[in-house]
Amino acid sequence: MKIPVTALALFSLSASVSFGGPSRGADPAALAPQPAPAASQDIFAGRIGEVVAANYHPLQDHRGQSVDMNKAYAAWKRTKKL
Amino acid sequence: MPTLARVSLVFAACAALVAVARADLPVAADLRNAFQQLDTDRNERINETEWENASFALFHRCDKNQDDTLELTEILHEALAASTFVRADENGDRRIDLNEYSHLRRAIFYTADIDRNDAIDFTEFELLRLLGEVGWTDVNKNHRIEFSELQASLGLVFAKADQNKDGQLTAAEATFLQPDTFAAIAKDGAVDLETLVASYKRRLLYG
Repeated sequence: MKIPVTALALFSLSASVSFGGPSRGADPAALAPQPAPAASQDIFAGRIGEVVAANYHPLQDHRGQSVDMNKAYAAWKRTKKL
Repeated sequence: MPTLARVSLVFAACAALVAVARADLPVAADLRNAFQQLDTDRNERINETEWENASFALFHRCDKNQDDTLELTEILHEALAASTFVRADENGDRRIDLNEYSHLRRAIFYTADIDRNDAIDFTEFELLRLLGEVGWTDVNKNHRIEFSELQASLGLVFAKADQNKDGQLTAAEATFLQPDTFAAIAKDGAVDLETLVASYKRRLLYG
């Protein structure tokens, strides 16, 4: 199953378009095309990433065992048949 | 260039700027939708597994050449991101591998988990999105969002949303708030900063 882009846009700018349009008080500026979400916005959580990027969090599971993220990612890809 | 054309150009530029400014704060429906997409078991919390799966999906989408690393060109679009990229690139090889990426994503998760219960509820998710737009200063450098720090950031959110600068947010201005939340805290159809901050504190403490 392909995951919709909106599911991945964790912290992206809103770029949705309503085809119904506002019923009243329509503001032309609000109807202008919005910028497409930038991948960096998604990954870095906007300005939060700027603050926390240098923090170190050990890659461990709940039992305190180290997790090989490459293996975890490969396993995730297999479950998604990617 | 003819005067009319110049005026049109300036108007178009201004309209574009206004549109971008309005796009800065996420709107309630998008916040709810994004949260539900991550909360796959529908228990109103994003746990570590859900977060990790979503992070892998995001990584996969961005890794255009599928080499299991993110290069500058695959994700960078603005100066802020470039600065963050450099910090996240622990070994300085100008790419973010899965370990570096996971360090970053886990750091974001633990920061968003304000009440430290190993999950992100909707209020925390909403705050993460809002602070992602206006910024957050980790004053005491403890890597956690404290109430005093939250208050400062919410002041920026409020200022950005308060379009007529009257110190009150109407429903039309507080578009980032869920309608039922706004209705619960509004007095005479508006919300001031003090009420907004108190509302978030209450939701964080008592759900």
